[in-house]
Amino acid sequence: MLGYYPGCTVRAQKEDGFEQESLAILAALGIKAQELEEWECCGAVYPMAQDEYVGLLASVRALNQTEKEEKDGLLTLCSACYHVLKRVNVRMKNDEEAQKRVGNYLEMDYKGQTEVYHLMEVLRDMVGMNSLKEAVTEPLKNEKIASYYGCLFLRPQKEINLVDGENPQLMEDIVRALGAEPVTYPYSTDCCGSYHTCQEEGVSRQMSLKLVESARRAGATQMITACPLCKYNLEKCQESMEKEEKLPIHYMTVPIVKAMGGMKTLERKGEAHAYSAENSSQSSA
Amino acid sequence: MTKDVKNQEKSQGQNMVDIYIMGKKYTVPDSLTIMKGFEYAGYTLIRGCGCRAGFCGACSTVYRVAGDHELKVGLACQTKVENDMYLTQIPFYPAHKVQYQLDELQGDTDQLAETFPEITKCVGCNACSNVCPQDIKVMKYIAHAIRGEISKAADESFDCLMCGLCATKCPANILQYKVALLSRRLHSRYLVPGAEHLQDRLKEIEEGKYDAEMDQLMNASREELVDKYNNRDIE
Amino acid sequence: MSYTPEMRELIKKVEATRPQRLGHDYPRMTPEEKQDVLKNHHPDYIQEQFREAKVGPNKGDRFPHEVADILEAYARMDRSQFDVNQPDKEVDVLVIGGGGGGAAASLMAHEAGADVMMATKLRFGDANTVMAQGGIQAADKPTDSPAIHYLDVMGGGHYTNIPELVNALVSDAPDVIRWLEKMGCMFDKDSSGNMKTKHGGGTSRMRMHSARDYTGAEIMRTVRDEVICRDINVVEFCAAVELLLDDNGKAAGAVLYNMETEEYMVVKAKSVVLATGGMGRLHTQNFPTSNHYGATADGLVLAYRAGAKLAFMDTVQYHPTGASFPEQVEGFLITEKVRGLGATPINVHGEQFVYHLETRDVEASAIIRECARGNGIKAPSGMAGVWLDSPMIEELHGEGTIEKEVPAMYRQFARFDVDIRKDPILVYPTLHYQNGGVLINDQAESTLENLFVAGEASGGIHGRNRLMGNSLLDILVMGRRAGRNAAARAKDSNGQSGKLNVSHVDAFEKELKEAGIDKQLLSPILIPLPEKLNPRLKD
Repeated sequence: MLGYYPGCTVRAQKEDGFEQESLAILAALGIKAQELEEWECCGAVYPMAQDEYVGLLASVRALNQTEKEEKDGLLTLCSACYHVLKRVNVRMKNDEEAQKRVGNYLEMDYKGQTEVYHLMEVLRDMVGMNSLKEAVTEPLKNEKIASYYGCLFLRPQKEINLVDGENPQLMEDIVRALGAEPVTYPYSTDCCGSYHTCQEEGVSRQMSLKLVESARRAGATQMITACPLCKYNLEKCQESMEKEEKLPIHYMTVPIVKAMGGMKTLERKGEAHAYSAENSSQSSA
Repeated sequence: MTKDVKNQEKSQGQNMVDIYIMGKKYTVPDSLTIMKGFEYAGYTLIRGCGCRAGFCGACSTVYRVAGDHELKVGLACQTKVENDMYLTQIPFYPAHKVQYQLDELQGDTDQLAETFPEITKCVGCNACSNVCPQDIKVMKYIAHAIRGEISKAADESFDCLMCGLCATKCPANILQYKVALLSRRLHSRYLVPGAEHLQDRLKEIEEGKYDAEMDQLMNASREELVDKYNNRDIE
Repeated sequence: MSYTPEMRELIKKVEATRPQRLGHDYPRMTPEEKQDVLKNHHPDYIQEQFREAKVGPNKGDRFPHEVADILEAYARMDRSQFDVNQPDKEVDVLVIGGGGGGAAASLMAHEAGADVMMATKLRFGDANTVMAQGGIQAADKPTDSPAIHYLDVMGGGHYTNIPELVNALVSDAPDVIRWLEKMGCMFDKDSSGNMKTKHGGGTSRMRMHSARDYTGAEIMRTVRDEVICRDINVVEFCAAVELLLDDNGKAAGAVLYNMETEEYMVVKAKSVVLATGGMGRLHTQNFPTSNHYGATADGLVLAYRAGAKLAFMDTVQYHPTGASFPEQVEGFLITEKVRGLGATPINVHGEQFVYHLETRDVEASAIIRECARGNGIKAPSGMAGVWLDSPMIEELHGEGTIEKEVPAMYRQFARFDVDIRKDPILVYPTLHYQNGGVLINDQAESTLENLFVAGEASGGIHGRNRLMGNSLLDILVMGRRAGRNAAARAKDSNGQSGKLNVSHVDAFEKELKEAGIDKQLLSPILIPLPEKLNPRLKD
């Protein structure tokens, strides 16, 4: 059983379906995750100052809570949560001063024991691409999907270490398992403009548009991402276009759900899994 | 003989402790609450003193016990004096006034963060929860508020007395107790259904359904009322 | 401070009889038995604790000594410090009092378009309202009706209540609940939005609405927030020390006294709402009190001097269950909800001696009688009491009920190492409520024109005994009426304004002199009397 850290944005924007779809996909594939009893906002930005410890507190509390609840790791969906939780964890593993200071303040002894997982990582390492492929009932034969990771999943390579930061292939592998064609496009690892959108919207629009155009030129029928902010920027930069001109931007769960037969099918499978898990636990008792 | 006098008389047979009110030393019986300690010492409280029963949140007090670096807090009417206690009250906190018209709000997930944008600056230090005299998980309900879980924030914060100690400690200048209040009002107004039986009754009253019966009762003799009362059925 | 070994031994007797008591209700008293216990044991019936007023509109009526003392006192204001005809502020409606009643009046007057000012002696919201834990009554369920509520109120008040006031109380009740619901007051509800209602002492229907055990606090938080959101002018730490009258002898404002700077402020108003609460902090007959620090009957003094008639001042409500232990919480109210959930009074032998949901006066008298018979339990402070068997609640409704239903109560005792889930609470009656007050009509107007009075400061609604849950209702029903009517009156007055005066105070003081009453005490007292000023302690 994984601990689950929904993140504020994902939770507050429930209607986008990212959370619901992610949990349904995992349940259908037999992966169980349970929301932590208590968690606070991770801060959304990893504190860069080496002598600032306050920014680590909420993440350490969640990581420690995961251990306290005896979960097998902490699952999260949002790119920012993943980025912050993972880097804080790395820091807590290696920085004795941080261990001491944060530990003293929180009155807990945490040294980076918890593993942090993103949805795509769980699909790769716990489910496996073959099993995912087997679970596909409606292969997405006509889709050409451009994957966009966003900086938070890629950099700094040394700490995040999810994929090859220069040539990531994880989302592409998932796309392949769904029966669709992954699109390779030149600027796929560039930045979307991020928080510039709040103050200098023109800057982020330009940067995002470059990505969208690049994917479109490479033949993409849609772009997928796991980052709420990237998704926002990629959509926002196309705001003034006619509907048919726009390249659809989706959370990465959307094509997965479709290929696996839709939400209803997934939910049925999830329940079946829960049922069999219950049975097996009964028989083992 | 009033209660206060009784306390003083009783004190003769009691253990005394030294307390320091704003740095000044007074010797008071150890059985007193901080509030009664103030009064025993000769203070007449106007601020920092309300219901004297742990409900109104007027008597937030900050104290430290000699030899311990830790700053503690409590309600003066609910916390006993200790020897070598250094204390002062926080009778007022200059919180900014946040005004809204409940009718114009909707209870959607962004409502709290829109009304109190500073909540998103929470750094998770948990100072608010640590300081709460009601043992409320303040940081937890603020986390609920940030992610738009209004009903959860309302439930978690329910026992809040609005003493304001949380806000005094917050590095992000969040007004936790006011966020909590709005979460409860939004929850109750928009996120739980209205009581239908209440609407039904209001309609009946408006249509005059009970007028005749009420007239009759109001003009009934004492004997008639006694008879009706003693023979009324009890649910 | 947890229970002493001696008390622990006695608790064993309570535990021993608990299984037999479970599921068996103690018989309710007959009307005759009730009369008997009231006559012989209720504090209202102890003649020497009362005296007749020598001056004022109620000359010759019976008052508790402690109330008579402050009514028959001289004015505390220093007239050299202000000029009544140089008002510092002019408003349509002046609301005096910052509890639930004052807030309700302010909201309604504001809604009616009046320029409102609220003056309050302490903080806005520091009032008995926040301490009312149990609930608020309203007949809004299909099995109930305003008429049934009316009968309960009249029976509870021993048929002495003023019918038109009770009619107003029960008829407005559902609308008050709707008003609160719309303002976002967090009532206990089921998932379909129905109010969860319970019994209270003396109710024949389950009509007690609650917000966990912070009902009053939740109501106060809500109405206070609404007052703040509407930007109504609230002046804190300014007590009214005298009413102002106009040339026609009508109420026309008040003299306020800044509790901190000790300066005076003259406020001219077209109408005045008095919502100053009761007199618990006068400690009649030396009873401890469950009341707020500010409950010093200031409003009664002001109104009485200005010529308003008082009513039912010879009857005081002693709540049957005030805490007797530990000493720090003496007088602290154990909400009636605790009995509503099934906790019963038990004597030193572990026996129940009264049905647990009699009306408050009867229940309190029965406890006083039981202690007088020598069946009480002595606390280390010397205070006597009987057990209130709170663990019964967990037996009846399951483990965890106490923490869920009465968290404030649980927390309160846990602070002093008493676990009310496992051990009973030692209780004795506590001074809880002033049944009487300024006489009003069903429009909340006193006998002094343009003076509206709401809540505990008024008298007549509850007769000689108030039922649980009718006080929160009263402050809101009458607060709303007072505010609405005060605003209407202000509108009618059409800007005409005579000169202001405080000559009624001169006249009153002259009357005092003629009655041979010396200048000993100055009133209103504003904060509870320190012992050296307390005339009761000089005898």
